[in-house]
Amino acid sequence: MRLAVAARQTETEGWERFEALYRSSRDDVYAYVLTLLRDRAAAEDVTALAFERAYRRRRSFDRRRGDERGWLFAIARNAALDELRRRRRTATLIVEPEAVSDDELAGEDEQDLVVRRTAVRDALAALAPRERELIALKFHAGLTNTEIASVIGVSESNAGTMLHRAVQKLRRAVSAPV
Amino acid sequence: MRPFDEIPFEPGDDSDVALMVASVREWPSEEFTRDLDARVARRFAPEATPVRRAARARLPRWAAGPAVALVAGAVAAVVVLSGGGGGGGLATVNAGGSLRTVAAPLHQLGVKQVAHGGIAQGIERLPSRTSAAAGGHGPLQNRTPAAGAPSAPSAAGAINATVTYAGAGVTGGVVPVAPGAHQIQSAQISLTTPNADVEQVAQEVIDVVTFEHGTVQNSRVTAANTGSGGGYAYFDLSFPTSHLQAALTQLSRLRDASITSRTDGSLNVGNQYGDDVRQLRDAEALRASLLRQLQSAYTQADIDSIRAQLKLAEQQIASRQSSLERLQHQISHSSVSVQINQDGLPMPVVRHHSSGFTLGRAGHDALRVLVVSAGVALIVLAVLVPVGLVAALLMWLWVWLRQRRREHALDATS
Repeated sequence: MRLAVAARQTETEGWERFEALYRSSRDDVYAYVLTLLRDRAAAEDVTALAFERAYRRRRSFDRRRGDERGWLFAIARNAALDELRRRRRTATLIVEPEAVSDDELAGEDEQDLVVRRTAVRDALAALAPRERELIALKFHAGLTNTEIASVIGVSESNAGTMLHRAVQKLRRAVSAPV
Repeated sequence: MRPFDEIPFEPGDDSDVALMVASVREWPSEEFTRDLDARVARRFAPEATPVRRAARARLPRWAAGPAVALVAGAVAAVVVLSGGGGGGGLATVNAGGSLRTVAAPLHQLGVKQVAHGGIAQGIERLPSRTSAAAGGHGPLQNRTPAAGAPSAPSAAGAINATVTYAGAGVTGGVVPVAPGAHQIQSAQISLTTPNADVEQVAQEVIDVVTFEHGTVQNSRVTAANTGSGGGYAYFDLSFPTSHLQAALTQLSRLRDASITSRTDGSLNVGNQYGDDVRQLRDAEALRASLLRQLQSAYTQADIDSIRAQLKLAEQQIASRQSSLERLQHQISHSSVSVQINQDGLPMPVVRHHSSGFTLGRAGHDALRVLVVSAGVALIVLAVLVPVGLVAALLMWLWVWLRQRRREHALDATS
């Protein structure tokens, strides 16, 4: 009886933790997955799949091995890479994400902003996939270097070096004259 | 309006990059977030089957291990406890050169019944299984009558009967002998006992010999204190035939040993006995005739010839008498060979003089269950560990390959 009550209590606590993780990470996971897949529809599917897998495997989460967000993004990464593999096999045309309709916002005051956004998008597109991923993990997901290292499966120092190079490359690309 | 839209990029650390990236960040559509929120709210359960899933009774994971262990223990206990008793019986009947082996529970053969009657009943039940192999000799009971039967077996035919019992706790009686028949009886008994008890069992055998007025012809006792075998004893015994049945019964029920097999043999020597008697009488008649001829002999040559023949006749008489005495001794004294731990490996003892529940027996059974369970666990481990190692290796290989393909898929998107 006590065991059943304890199990129910643990289940409730686990659910609450998962729900909090979902609330805080949903949009970040989507942004990260979209960075990898560059396809909105696929990104939505993979985001949903990642959360479902995380929910099913929530008991296997080990806090000693890292933060919950790192664990969640690792699941999302694997799901996204599986989707990439599947798309390679089925030769699906990769659709670039639709650009936000900046033109609609293109008032006189916002012309400069639109130009800057375009420059950033182009610079991001020019990065290697792994560099784009690192940028997404750092600035969309807000992960620490340690968490990034655990998600992409490299050492922390290696992750820091790779991230630094990606950031420098992005900076150069953005500031480069068109 | 999205976050950071109005914030200008500023240099310094990585905040400028953060602002840059944030300015082009994509956000999920409201429709998608609404759908996903709903799925999360119902915990990713399909909409149609939540009731059925909730109603399904499942064994908690924490209870699975103990449950499996409990079932395994129960199975081991049943195997051990049921394996201790019973035992199949093996009856081999060698009659007139035909040999048939009938495997059947001992109680079917009637060997639990006492003495001659029991064996006779057992043998009498055999023809239904052995008649096909008996050839022209007919059913066995026609040629090996039960004790006390009014008609003796044919003295002219040499009938050998051997009855072998195998299995723990076998009992039985010697092959029946008809009154007036000249038969040599013998028996072989195989006993088993723990190494430590070999000497004790040997002493019990000697006690039986003393009690039944037998003699030890030959013996060898090797004691060993190791648990893995080596303790062994062998006895060649001789008992007065009148005491054979009692001696065999006692040897079959020694306190510290259990019987694994027992073979009772009977050799009809009626023909040989009759021949020896006839030849002795002929030789005596010849000597009497020669003596008479010697009295009436006149010449020295006749006397010498008759004396030489007399000498030969007396030698024949002595030889026949000796042969007859040997035969009579073999008939009046039966040989019994007893082997303890024949293969040098001790086996668990089935105690004969205890029945019902005792703490000692319960402890013994519990120990046996534990030992067998440990053995089963060891065998299971011996199988599962290599299988587990191979499975783990394959699993690791599969995970490594999958991750490698994923990384390759990411690189290929450039």
